[in-house]
Amino acid sequence: MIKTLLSLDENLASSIALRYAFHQANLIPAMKLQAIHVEEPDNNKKHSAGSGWVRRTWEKGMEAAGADEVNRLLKTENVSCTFVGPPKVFVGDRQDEILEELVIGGYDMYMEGDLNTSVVADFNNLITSDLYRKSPCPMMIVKNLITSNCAGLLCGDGVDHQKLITNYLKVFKNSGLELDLLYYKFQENDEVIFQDKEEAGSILIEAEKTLEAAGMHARRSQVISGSPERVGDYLRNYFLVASTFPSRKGPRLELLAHVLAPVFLCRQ
Amino acid sequence: MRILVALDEHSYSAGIINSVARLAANTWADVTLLGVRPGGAAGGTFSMNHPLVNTFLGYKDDFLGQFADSYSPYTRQEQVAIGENNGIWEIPGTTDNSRKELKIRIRSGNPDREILEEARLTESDLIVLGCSGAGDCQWQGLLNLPEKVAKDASCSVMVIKEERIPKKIICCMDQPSVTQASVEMINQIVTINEADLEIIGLTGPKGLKEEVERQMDGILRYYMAQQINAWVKLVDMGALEEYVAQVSRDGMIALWMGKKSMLQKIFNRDLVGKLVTQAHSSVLILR
Repeated sequence: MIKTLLSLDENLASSIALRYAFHQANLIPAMKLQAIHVEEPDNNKKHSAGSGWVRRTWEKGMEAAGADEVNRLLKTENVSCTFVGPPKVFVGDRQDEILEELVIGGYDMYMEGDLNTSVVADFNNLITSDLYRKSPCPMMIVKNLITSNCAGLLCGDGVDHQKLITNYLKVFKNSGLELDLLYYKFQENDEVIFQDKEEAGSILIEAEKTLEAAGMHARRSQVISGSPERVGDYLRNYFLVASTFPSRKGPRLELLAHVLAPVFLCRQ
Repeated sequence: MRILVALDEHSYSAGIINSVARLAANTWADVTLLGVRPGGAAGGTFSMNHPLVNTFLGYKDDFLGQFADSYSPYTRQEQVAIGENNGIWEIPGTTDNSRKELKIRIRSGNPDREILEEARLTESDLIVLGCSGAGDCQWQGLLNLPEKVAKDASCSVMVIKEERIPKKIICCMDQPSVTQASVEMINQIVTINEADLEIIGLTGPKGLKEEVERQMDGILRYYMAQQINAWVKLVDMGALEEYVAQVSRDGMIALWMGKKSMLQKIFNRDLVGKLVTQAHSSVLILR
């Protein structure tokens, strides 16, 4: 079973994430989804929470409102994927509550929608937030609803491809998705240039071997050069682009910020 | 839908006929091919033998030639007859019982004013015109005509800059009142070009407006239901000009510019002109 925690709010990003999760669950029968929603008290009104029964009543009201919100979304989307249980609704700090659920629940993946801004700082803030830094499992940022049948594994630039492949296959091995191994080279170039895998030194060749050892093979392995904007745009058609968390601000971070496809990030 | 196609006798005009015919075929539009000759003595006398008439008859044939007869909503008028009313010459291209109308109209006077006046009088939904090269969008001998038309028209305007087929259509929206007609127009343009669609939500200091987000959601669903590959993206208003300059290299830019649109402020008249002139791609201004 692949336990996936799906964060939902009543907005476009969540709507896209929910439909994408539905599609993913169809590809991976072992995937079991659990929806979560966190109602954050309005900071300006936090003193209204009171204490004792007043607080309990207030929290119950907030929870009920949150549950209504998620149920409205689920009803609107009318997706038929099976959730392991009713949506979990919490009141409190969003990141803290989700993180706690991820730790307690032993999830294999966390998924949330996030509309792409291509602003590198926004993306960096997201993946360096407490939730992402402390998460015990891989994180999926759903930027768009893509239904292609190929995933791209982004290697190089400090990526431990063995960890990446292991984490990716743990979730997606039986999905039927094809795989491309990608190596990104930054170039201030208006065109996207493709080169043979040898241009990446031994990285893509070793990654191919790791895949083969796991009983999989890459559809193709290639080096892609260009600006992060251009290459990010080129990668838009992948079902997802997987990589490890960038450890520094660099070309890979910029590329992942610009990718319009969903991004799967794991720790190394 | 009524499409006004503004043409002159140069190759950039001839080059847009195929695109117009494909758009007309998908939208079942009434189409006017409009020519403007210099007013007064400079225009000389006008008759069937005028070179402009021959050019436009050629455009008409090219247009009708794009339709297989059995599927054509345009029933060709075999006899060429020219009539005049208030100084405007007209040649019907289709018969009276044709499902959709094609006609040639030749006006005289200041070209940009005449194009806008014709669009107003005929209540056109869309003006289509071509122009020279990607970096310098002009009509020969007429300074900044495409730019003037794009800025001043009260209906939608499409400036086709080259025959290159756009790989994606980039639609920018910042207000919820997007008409079904404009959504459908984008649908047709995406379909005709087999292009991808990028829906850009414009964000301000308070992020994306809730009603715009809802509209984006609706539009995204609509296009996905039509089997159109659509992506969403958010762009800050302040970075829009830069973004448009960047993406216009391989896509067609479409700006939804309703009355409530902030784009009216960001892309004020001069900037619309700049976009038309400088964008590498064709440009669609949706009003």
